[in-house]
Amino acid sequence: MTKPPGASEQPAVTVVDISDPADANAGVELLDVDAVQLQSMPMRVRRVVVRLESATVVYHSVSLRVRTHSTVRKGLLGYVAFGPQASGTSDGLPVRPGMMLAVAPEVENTFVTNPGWETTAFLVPSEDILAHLAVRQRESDFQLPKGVDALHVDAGRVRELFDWGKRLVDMALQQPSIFDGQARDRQAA
Amino acid sequence: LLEKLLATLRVADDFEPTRSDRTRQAQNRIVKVAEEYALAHADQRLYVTDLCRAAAVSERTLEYAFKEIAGLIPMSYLVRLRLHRVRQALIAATPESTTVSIEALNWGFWHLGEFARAYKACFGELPSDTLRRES
Repeated sequence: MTKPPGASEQPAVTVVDISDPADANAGVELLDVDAVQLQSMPMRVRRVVVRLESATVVYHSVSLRVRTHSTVRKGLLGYVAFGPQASGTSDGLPVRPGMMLAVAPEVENTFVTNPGWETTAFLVPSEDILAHLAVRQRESDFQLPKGVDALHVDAGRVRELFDWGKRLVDMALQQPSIFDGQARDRQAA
Repeated sequence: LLEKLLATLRVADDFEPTRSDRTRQAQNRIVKVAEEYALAHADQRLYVTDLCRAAAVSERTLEYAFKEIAGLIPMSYLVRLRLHRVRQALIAATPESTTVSIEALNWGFWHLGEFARAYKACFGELPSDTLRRES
C-alpha cells in the first residue's frame, strides 16, 4: 500500500471546526481549498479527516452558502458521495440523489454549498486502486477520472457509501485511539 | 474501503446532463472566467463591461450567471471575493509588516471607509482588528 502524500506526520483523526473562510484549508494536507462565504452570517464548517492505511476519508458539513475551489493533491483520486440533504452545485451541475464525483488529481472543482451540505470524500492513491484491481484481474472494470467526472449511480448505493463514510467518521470521533493504533486495528475498525 | 468504493463505482455510469444542467455548467464557466479576470486585475477599478468583455457575454447574461451560481450580482460577488483576499493577507501579516490601507489598495478598494464597512458586514470585525489579532 502506498503512503498518502504528506500524511506521514499527521494524527490519524483530525477534527476542525471552521468559522472563518480564511481558514478553509485547516486540518487537511491532501486538498487545497479556497472559500468565499456568500452570506453574511456566522459560518460553521466541520471537517473530519480520517487517515487510514493509504486512503483518507474527509467529511464536510457546511451551514451556509459558500463557494469553494478544491483541488486534490498529486497522486490521489477523489471520490465524493453527497449527503441526503446536500444541495448546491459542483462546477455548476446541481447536486442530486444518485450523483457522485470522481476527481482526478490537480484538477480544480468549484462547489457552491447550501445550508445542510454534507459530503464524504474518499481520497485514494490511484496506484492502490490499480494494484487492487490487477490482483483481481478486473482492470477493465475501471476508468481513471480525467477531470471532475460526475457519475450517475443508484441513489441507494450513493447513500450507502455516504453513510459508510459517515459511520467511519463518527467512530473516529468517538474512539480516535483505534485509528491511531496498529494497522490491523484500523482494518478491523 | 477500496472494495466498498469499487463496488459502488462498478455500477456507475457517466452522468448525462440535461439541457438545464448544461446551462448551469455554462453559467459556472462564465462566473469562473469573470472571477479569474477580477483576481488578475485585482488592483484596478473593475466595471461590469470589463467582465463582460473577458467572458465574452452580454451584461444580462453575466448578471444572470452570477445570480444563478452565486446568488449575487457580479459586482457584489467580486467585492466579496476581494474582501476575502484582503482578509487572508491581513491574517498572514502583522501590524509591522503591512497596513490595512496597503492591503485594501492592493485589492482594489479605493474608498477606505466603505471598505471597512463592507469588511465588517462580511466578517463581523474591522480590518484593523484582524490585522492586530495574532494568527
